[in-house]
Amino acid sequence: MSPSAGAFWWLFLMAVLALVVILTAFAAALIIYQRRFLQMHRTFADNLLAAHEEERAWVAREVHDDALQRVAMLVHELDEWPGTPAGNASASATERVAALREEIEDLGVMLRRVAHRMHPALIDHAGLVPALQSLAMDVTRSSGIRVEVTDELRLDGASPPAGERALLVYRIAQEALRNVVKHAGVSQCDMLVALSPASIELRVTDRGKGFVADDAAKERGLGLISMAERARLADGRLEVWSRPGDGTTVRALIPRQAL
Amino acid sequence: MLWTLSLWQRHAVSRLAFRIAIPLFLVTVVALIPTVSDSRTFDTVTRPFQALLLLASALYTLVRNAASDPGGVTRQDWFWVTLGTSLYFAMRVALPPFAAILVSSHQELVRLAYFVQAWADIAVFLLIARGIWCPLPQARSGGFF
Repeated sequence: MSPSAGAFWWLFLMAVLALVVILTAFAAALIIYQRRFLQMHRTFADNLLAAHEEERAWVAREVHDDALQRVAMLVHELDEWPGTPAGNASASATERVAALREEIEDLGVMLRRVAHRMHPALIDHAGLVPALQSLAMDVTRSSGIRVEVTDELRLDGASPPAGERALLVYRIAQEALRNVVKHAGVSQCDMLVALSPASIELRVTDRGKGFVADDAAKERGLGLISMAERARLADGRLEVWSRPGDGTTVRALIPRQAL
Repeated sequence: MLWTLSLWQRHAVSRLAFRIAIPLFLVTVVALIPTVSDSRTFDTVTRPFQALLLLASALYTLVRNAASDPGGVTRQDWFWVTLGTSLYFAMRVALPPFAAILVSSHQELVRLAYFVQAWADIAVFLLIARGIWCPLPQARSGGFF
């Protein structure tokens, strides 16, 4: 090979090498940037959900500790009012007070339901399974859809789930049941909660209208996205099986410990 | 040089890529040592590699920044410095192979080419000096992507 051809050959080789270095650097930078961006997005979503839950807990506490106490006091005041049978008020006034008392009691029931829905204190006091059973009863009461709850406890001495993870599973169940009420068009659905030392599994199944699972996110708004996001934040996963006319199954598998 | 160019990048990915390219360049040069054992040949191999890498980096910075900031590029230090370094490394890449071809048959032409390179180097230093005289950019506040 002549010296001039050799010089061009080396130049070509070095150009290829420089190109490889540049492309490798850009590929590595893209991967690192993407990972950082995902991590940031994840932290943001985590903080957002935590702030959301904190706000809900605060509202629930205020409703329970303040508004409900005032309602109870009003009922008590009306009980003590001289217009009640022992008093000497006219019959129409007594009837109006009785109606008012009934309205206030209804308001109390409604406020208690709102507080419970905002932040289910039952999770903290009784645990996840009783809270889910209570949720099922609430859904039955408000929508008429019977929710069959089955629990499989295989804890092997481990403590039942509590705190954030239990609340997260509860929220997923809440959203899944809301979807059943809004979209499935059924009179009954099933909820399975399986607890093991390693994971929490939640499965909500209905035999309703179903949908094309691929179109779920765009057609059903934020519901499925928020369930998936909650599951992902806990290093778990959410699976949705559905076909038009064949019902829907939502399954969330959440590890007990962060991975 | 790569680190300086990284500071002028507008996008986080480019900035990171320029910084990653530094260890990659060093690793490549070290890897070339056993491949090219003769010290004179080593120089003729690594110089074009270094020049090509820096030429590409400087041109990328120049084009990318000029495209995203079309108004008033002449007031920016990066414009003059990358213009100067692009010219400098372009001469370093182009001249040696042509000199190798022409040195036996057209020595006068080779001499003229090196004469042009010397004047180009002076122009390069003037361009870089012009960049140094540009006002310092305002520091960015907060994060950006």
